[in-house]
Amino acid sequence: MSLEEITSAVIAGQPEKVKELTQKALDEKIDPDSIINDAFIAGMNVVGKRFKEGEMYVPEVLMAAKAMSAGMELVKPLVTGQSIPSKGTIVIGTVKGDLHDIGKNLVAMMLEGSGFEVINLGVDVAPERFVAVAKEKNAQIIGMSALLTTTMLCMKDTIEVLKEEGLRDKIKVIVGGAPVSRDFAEEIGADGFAPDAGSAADLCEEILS
Amino acid sequence: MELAMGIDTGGTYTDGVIMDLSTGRVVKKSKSPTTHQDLTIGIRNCLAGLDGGFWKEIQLVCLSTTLATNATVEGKGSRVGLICLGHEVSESLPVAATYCLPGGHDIRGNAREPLDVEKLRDALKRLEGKVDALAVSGYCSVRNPEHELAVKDEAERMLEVPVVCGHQLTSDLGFQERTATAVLNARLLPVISQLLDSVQQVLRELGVTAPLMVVKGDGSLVDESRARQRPIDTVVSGPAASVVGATFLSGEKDALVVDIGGTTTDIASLREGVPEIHRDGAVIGGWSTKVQAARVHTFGIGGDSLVQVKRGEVQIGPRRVLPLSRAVADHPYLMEELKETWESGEKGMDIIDAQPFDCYLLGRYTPGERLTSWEREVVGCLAAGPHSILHISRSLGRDPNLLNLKGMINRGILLPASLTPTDLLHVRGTFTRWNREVAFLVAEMAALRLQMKREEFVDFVLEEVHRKIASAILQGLVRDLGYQQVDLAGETVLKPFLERILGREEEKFLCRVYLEQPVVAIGAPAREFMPAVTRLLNTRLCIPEHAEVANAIGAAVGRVVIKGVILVRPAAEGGYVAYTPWERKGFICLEDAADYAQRVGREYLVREAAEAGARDISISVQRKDVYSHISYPIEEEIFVESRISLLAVGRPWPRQGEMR
Repeated sequence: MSLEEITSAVIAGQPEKVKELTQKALDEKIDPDSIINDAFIAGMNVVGKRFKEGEMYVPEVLMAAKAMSAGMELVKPLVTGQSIPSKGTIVIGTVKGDLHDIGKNLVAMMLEGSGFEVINLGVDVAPERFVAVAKEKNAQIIGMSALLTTTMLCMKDTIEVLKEEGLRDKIKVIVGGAPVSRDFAEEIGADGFAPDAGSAADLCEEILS
Repeated sequence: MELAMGIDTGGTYTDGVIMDLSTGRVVKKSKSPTTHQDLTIGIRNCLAGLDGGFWKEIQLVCLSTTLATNATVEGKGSRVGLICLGHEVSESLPVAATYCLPGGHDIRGNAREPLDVEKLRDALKRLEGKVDALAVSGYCSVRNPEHELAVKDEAERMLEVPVVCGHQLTSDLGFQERTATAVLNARLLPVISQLLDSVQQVLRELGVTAPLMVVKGDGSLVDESRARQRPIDTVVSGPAASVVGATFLSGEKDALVVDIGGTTTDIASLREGVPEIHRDGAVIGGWSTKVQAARVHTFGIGGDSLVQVKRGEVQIGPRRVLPLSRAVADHPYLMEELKETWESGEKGMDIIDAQPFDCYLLGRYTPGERLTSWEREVVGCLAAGPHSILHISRSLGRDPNLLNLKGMINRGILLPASLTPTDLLHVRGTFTRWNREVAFLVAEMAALRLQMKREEFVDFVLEEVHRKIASAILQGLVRDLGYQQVDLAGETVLKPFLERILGREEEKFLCRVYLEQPVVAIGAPAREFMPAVTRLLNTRLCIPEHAEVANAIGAAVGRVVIKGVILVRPAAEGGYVAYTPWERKGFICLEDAADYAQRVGREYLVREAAEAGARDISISVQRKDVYSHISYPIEEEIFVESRISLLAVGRPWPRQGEMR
């Protein structure tokens, strides 16, 4: 069988089919690393590009991500922790006082899909918590999301906590969410801003390069 | 006449100057070696050189000193206890004891946990009699200093020693650096007081009754009583004083100050009479702090940079060597050795990591330092005096390529003498302090390696030196703009443009830069190099007189500058919060908060400026409301914060009849 079939199934958002094909690939003794890199991540890269260009929509992306996770469940136990290739570690969450997480979860999946290790802290995350977890996990990037104009200022708080802890040079900050603009990101001193989930992965790669 | 005296105790020299500020004229100047074991001796000698019967008429004395820097580097100072609130230090600091107690605030200035007064009293009791001063640093104390202030109150009562709080020395975020600043300040308290006491003693003996002021790291002045409380502010004042002094001499208010020495070229900017400040705080004695210091860019190009001819190319710097013209002036027999090299067939030979005309001197060798038997032979060969590389090779019977001197050079045991821009100036005849004959000989040898005529070679290399300095200046400006990582010379996309800017290429198109600011140049080779450099950069050049005492002049003409910022931000729970350097205060509406901030900001400036010793104070309180554009749910501007910038500038000058 070819890995391309898995890739197509990921893009098409078919969890059952991905599961079935992945099992088949494993039975055929195909290297698990290769399944992750050449099938799953390759598929999600296509999804990311299509989403960015408006050829795919949020529900389809969510299905693709779900399909990939279904396959990943089978492969993960077979590879030891460190051999899963990681482009970097990103701590992500919705800021304090804000409970909106659809967009943020989408970004998390896209980032995972393109090979980052993502630590998703959920919603209502205090500035100190972002920093504490990033410190503990040696993350290179903190990603923050907000939907409300009243909560988006909390992003600046996190950046300032990084300064107080002397970590501002070591940890990059990216921000996003419906009301967040490039202008705002620059104003609060963030390192990056992406207008949509599809561009988030490109942004992270650019920041870490 | 308005006479002011400036004194600068630098690393090597103590400079002094008496200036008439009404005319900007230098009345007297003097230079004496700095006496590190007791700075007062050097100051006394320097003042002796200034004597002209003016003592009674001097109205102001300004001191710039490296004492605080040296004391920090050498680990001198008092025993300090440190109390941290809500956070531990990540890097160890020079303290006798540290207690980390509950307390501290979050980034918006809300208490994270209450201050534990019982634990505090317990800690203070243990510190009793063991420390001469106490430093207090709370997490996010610049957003709410209430815990630091409470500890200060309690400690002053219980310990009766001076207490230094982090928030009083800086309003910047950065717990570790703020804590280091407080600790070092506490350590320096007795050090600076001793120096100021003895300087005042010397002045009294001479009959000088004028007030004494001290230069801060940002180039501004502060009254000695204030300097005694905040000695850390006086650290690293040398570069700032030199920038202020150089620009004063040139009459410019905005300028780029370029100081060309033997080893390096230092570049700094002056805006509206004040040196531009480094965005991050200064690093002092290995500790990162929040101390404000002039931003100076240093590049490895100077009069004594090594000129190497290798594989048909010329490389200049960054290593510094002794100019051969100087080595021969000190040791004339080297000329004979180099003539031998010239007459033998070896003048054109290639030697790894060296050139056939290189000479070596013995540098510093600490007894007990381990040497290999070969290294001992080399040292023995040079014990009676320096020799040329071929002489060493012959006496030790080894091929010059196998001498393996690099390690000894890196350790400072050997000092190389070689071809430098200084030698080329000797050939040209524009600077001829040392031996010219050797300069001719060596330039000829080097020119031969490029198949050039001697004069052609000299012009070519000196032009490269000009280009290197011009490109260093551009690099400094680019960093000023915030592009810390950009290396102009390393960016291939820039190469076609840079080559044309620097005048190396003219094919197809021309490219020029025009510097916004004029250049004020100081340092020994400035007169030789800078006219060509400023031509490349299309800007005015000023090489002021008396530049050799620029630091002392900078001290004498400094101003009192007080800066600060108050932030007003929306609070999470609604309403607004004003963050001032001394408190955090809540308001219901923005206008009330901003009005309050402007009013207390003004009061703060008046108070601080007066305490710092300023007269004729001009005050600026500027409110800037920051909004940011958003496009969801509707297109609108949202309020981010109000920044109230505080600036007071004054003259350190007593009004008529107000002399102390």
